Amino acid sequence: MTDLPSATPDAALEQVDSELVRGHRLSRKRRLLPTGRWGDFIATTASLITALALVVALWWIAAIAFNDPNVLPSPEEVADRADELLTNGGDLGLVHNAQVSLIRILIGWGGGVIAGVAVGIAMVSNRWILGLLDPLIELGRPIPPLAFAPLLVIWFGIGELPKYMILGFTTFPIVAISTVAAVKGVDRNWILAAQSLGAGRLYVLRRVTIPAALPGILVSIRLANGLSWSSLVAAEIIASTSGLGWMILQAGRFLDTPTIFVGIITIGLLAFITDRVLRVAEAWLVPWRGKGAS
Amino acid sequence: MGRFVAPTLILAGQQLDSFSNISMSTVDVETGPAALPLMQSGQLAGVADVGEPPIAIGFARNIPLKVVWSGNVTPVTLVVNKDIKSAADLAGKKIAAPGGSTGEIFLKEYLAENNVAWNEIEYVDLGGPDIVPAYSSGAIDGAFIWVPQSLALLHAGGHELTTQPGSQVTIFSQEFIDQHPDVVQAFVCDMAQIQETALKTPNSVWAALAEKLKLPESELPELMPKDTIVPVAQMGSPKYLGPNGAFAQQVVATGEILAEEGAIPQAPTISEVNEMIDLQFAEAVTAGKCS
Repeated sequence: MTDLPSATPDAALEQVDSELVRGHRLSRKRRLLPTGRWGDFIATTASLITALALVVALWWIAAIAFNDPNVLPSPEEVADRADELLTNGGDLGLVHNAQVSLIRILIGWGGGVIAGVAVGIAMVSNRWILGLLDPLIELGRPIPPLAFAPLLVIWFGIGELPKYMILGFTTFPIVAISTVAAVKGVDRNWILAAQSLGAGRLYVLRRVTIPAALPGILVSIRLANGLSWSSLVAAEIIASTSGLGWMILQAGRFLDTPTIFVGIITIGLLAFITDRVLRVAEAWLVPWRGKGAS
Repeated sequence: MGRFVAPTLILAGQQLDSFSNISMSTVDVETGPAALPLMQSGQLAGVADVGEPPIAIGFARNIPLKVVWSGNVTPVTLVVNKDIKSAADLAGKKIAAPGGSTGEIFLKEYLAENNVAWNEIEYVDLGGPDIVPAYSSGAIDGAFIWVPQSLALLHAGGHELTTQPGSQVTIFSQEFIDQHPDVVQAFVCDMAQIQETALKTPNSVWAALAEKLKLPESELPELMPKDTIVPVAQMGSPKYLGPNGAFAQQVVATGEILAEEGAIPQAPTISEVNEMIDLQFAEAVTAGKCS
């Protein structure tokens, strides 16, 4: 802890400033990596590579210990299988199944996001809608989407619609609830300021409320993206003959453990990539996020 | 004894207290292949009422298992709606079967025999219990499935296009056989008694089964026709589990289909399947060693 012997507040603040600047210079001298965005990138990449190398090393050791590819195939066996599935996998072809799953996620998750944001805004805008829908969403939220599968088959058949709906059910509540919370969290003074300058209700919603709530809504959209990928296998249980979830189930039937690993890793990678894309979109849509209001 | 998958005859035997020599717990699995990982991990000692796919898959994945018994040969039927009169009409139609099951294999064989390409139909991978509501709602045009679902589809207005005999065999892990041959023998002796009872006095078995399954007794003879139960004395004949017999040949055919589509690395030969059939316990029954 630094003592502040200065007599006046201004002098004390100057002293704190100089301490901070000196400390910053010292820490820069001690660092091996460059600072700023380039340094962050190198640090993140190095951490990722280290973590992956550690996981692969542990996996390899465990595979040697088990010595049974039906239980735990080695990373090499999984890589070989991935190569086969990329080049000539037949029904289990990796590119085809990844494309099918990606389209399902985009439609199911996208539908859930649009519905969630729209319903969330409607709930905040009208207390009757809030009173009507809030308990329904809260009641339905803990129910696993897979529990709806038999009903969805009876009501909507065995096509793509039930799969989209399961993914949508996963996405909708979290986005709707987060939208309500984000909109309610908008600083009341900003709205009052806009209104005092003559802004109408729609203008305030479009130019003040939604931009201010957008960071919170976008976080929920990213979270919902991850949840959608985690529900993919459940969605693709329903009368599927394609998709990464189906590929995993099919491989399980034939004890094709390396293919199960390929499917799991692919889902993880696609979820990671889509999250990164959403982060970029987030930075572009809300460039003021994290900069604070002054 | 370890856990065991329960087919209909076992349920009847439990109701009749026919398992006098052993005690066992049972679990349900949707298809035979689904039980293989449980056998591999040692959670299941054996599986009853399985068809040919798990035998071919078990061979391909080096899972040591033996076929020790055959309970019955169940009809697996392709039931379709009235618009479908022949195999040629299946093109463009939605036909279901549980993925990786005997039903899917029989569907592939039937289409190949009738020069209909697999991709000409719209195959739907549905579990047995999901097939009936899917058919009733018009979501599928037919299914290759066993009883009781096939009967439900017939009752819902479907008609039979073809029927194949589906062997229902019992498999045990080699490890369990090596460690507990006396338990396997006791199980086989009890099963022999149940099957002989079902053949001689079927009513007693149907009544017990009806009570166990909470079904009207009148439905049971249709659920399990008497002539599908394997007589113990004939189990080792070519018609059933005998060397190069009907079952072994169907396992090879199944393995070839699965290998061709890349689901398993290689199919077993007929001699390799013969080695997976262990009739020592059935032979002990016919030699009178159960009493």
